[in-house]
Amino acid sequence: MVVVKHVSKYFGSTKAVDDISFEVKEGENFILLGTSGCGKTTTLRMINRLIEPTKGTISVNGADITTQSPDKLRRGIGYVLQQNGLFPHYTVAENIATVPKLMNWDKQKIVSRSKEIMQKVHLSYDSYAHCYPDQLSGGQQQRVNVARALAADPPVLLMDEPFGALDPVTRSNIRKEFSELDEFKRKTILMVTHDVQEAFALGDKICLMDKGKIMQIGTPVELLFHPANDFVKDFLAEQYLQLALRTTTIKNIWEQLSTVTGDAAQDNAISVDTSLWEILESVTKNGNKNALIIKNDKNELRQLKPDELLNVFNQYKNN
Amino acid sequence: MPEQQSLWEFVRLESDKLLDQTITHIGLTFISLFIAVIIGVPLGILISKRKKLAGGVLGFAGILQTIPSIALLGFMIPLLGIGPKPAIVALFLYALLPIIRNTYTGVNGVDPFVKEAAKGMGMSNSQVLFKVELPLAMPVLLAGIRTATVINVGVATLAAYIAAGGLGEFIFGGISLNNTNMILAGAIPAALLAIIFDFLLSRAQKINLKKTRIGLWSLPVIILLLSSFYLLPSAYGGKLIAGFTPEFMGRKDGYIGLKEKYGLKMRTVVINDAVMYKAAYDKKLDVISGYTTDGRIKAFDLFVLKDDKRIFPPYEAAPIVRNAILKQYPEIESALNLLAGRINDSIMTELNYRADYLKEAPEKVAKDFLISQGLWKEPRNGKKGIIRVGSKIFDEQYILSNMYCMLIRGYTDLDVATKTGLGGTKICFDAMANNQIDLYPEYTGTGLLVILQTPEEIVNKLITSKEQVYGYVKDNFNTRYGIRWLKPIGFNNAYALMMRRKQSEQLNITTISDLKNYLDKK
Repeated sequence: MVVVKHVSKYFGSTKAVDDISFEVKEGENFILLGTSGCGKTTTLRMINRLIEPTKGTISVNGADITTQSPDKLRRGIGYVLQQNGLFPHYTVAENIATVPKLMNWDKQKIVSRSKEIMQKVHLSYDSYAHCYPDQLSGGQQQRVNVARALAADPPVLLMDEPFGALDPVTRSNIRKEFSELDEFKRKTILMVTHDVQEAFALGDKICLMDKGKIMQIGTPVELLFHPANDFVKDFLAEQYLQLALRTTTIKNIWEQLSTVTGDAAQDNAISVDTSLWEILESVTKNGNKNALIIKNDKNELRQLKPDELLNVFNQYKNN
Repeated sequence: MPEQQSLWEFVRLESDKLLDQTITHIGLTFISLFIAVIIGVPLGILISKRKKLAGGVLGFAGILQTIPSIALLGFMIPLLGIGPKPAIVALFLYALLPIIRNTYTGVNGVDPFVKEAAKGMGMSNSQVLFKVELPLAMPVLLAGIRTATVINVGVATLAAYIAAGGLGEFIFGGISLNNTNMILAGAIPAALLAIIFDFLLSRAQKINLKKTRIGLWSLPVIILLLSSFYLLPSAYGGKLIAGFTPEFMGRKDGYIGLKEKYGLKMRTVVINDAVMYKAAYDKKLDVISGYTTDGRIKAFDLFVLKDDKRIFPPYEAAPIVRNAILKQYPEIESALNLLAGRINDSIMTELNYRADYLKEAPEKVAKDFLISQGLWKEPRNGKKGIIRVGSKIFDEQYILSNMYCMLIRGYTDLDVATKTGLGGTKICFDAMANNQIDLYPEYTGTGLLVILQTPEEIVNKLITSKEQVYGYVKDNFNTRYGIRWLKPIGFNNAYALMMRRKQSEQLNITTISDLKNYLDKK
């Protein structure tokens, strides 16, 4: 879907991006992760030609991006930036209608699409369509921002620290909401963040960058358990345990669990997609010491005793 | 003393003129504003995109702003002559800085994230400009236009100096005629215009940001409409065009008398006397109101039309002195009277020519003359007291006041302080009445008409005899103001109409009646 080949960007003598290549498949959530100045935002902005690469080629949907005019290209790629990006002199509805208008949709279609997309981001059309951005809270503004990027239903979405300007509570709520949005699941998304938690929560694949170079591209599990080098290891070290527990689901440790016989209380059975972190959380909250019953897709049941949890996890990790 | 006319009466009587001047004023303001917007806004946008140009462009516009307005008008005359053209250009240059600067600041001030979002959505550069940057910069941009409008309403009063009309005609006419009503009749509408336009634009600034985009487009239309005021045809056509000073336009012994006694009707423009002679020489004007001793008559080869019906009263020059100072230092009377009878019209014209046209310092001209007459004496550097010598703001007065200073220093033990360049008659005389100067050269006709405001029937009786006029002003100044007229210097600097010598010969015009007959033919 998006293919980046040997791309470099030099600003004067500094190499902001230094010979990187990667490929994002259709429907994949691809996270560009790294500290400030690592080249992740530059990389993102090269994809919709806000910055032109010094070397290398980029293609979107199989076509080299330089074959299209930048304006046309950008209309086909959703773009979400930090919350300040809304047009203050446009109403919410006008903001959302920006790209459809540029693409000359007819009025009816614009209105019905705006209604649809606003509903998806949990904003009532009737109460908010005619508000101006400064009348909305930060969280609402960011919903509008996402709605605007999705309005013309672009197959590819670029997000530049989309939740960066929100407070931590709003941020985790909105992040969760968006990850459940079916547009979000369907679309090819490239997102820039410096927040490791966010990257692990949203990414199918994470591309960790440093000083313009890619350190590792892989799934969260690969980055955690098979770091390519010391940089990756160190980068994740501080939050390692939490990330690992969040990333590991019961499915990963299924084989190590003991089977349950008889008709143990099936009703309370937990899904195999539950992460070890969530189990740990609920156990700490309830003080529950009894074995948990888990059911997989084939309706098989197994059990996990809370005090076994770390043992099992360590075994899995060391495999 | 005649019954004082009230401001309201004046406005009612002159309502035609007032309306005409107001319309011209609005037209001048907005036509220049319109051009400034057309050029300033794109320039402001350009420098906000090419920052390297910004310093130069803003610096240049800033320098233009610092040039005194009168001087700027002066620079325009050699390039563009007189009339609306140079006035509009000068006003345009004044309006430029606030418009360029505010456009630049406004466009620059748009949040970079918003610009990036607009670009990232796929807007072309011009869409980013027109849909995002300009609407967001609009309040700041409008503030610039607002500033420029107020500046222009103010500066446009000066347009009256170069025959471009406007409310300055009343203001400057009133100042030179010592007519407060006339000053107010020009100044109040000018102030009101500034306040009204400022208010209207402040409203526009508030509504434009979000709600009405129609407002945005109506603004240039309104400006254009108001500018078109200036293009209204003027009432008189005519073969010859006359340029008169604001003072001459409003005086009974000026244009009003010409209309009443000669029945002269011609196309006139109001112009400052500093540029009037040159404009006649350059054929921008055909008839001007000048002074019989003006050096530029010689310089520009002008011909003085004979006042065959005697409407211009005598204007004999003589020093006027406060009685109090004469009592304190009686010796100055004889010193000042040394000049009495020494300078006739042609000598004065010659002296004025040297100062006005050859640009010799008035001080040198004065000294040379005193030496040639054997009147010059080394200053005694006396410390007995200080005499404050005043003058109006033209070379003849500078020359005379310099001579008086030299005579006082040379023949008495007194020192002098000069307060020269006191504008017109009103300013100069008020300075004396308020005990800020002790003496200055005045003209009998001015004393009779402008200062004493002598009733018409008395004027008509006196006007044919210069001795009678002198006697009348001498008595009345003494009793009314405690001011003494000393002996006349000898020349008569009266008003006169003048034309280019060549043209007067071609048309065979030698008197004002000839001029009238020529104009009446068809």
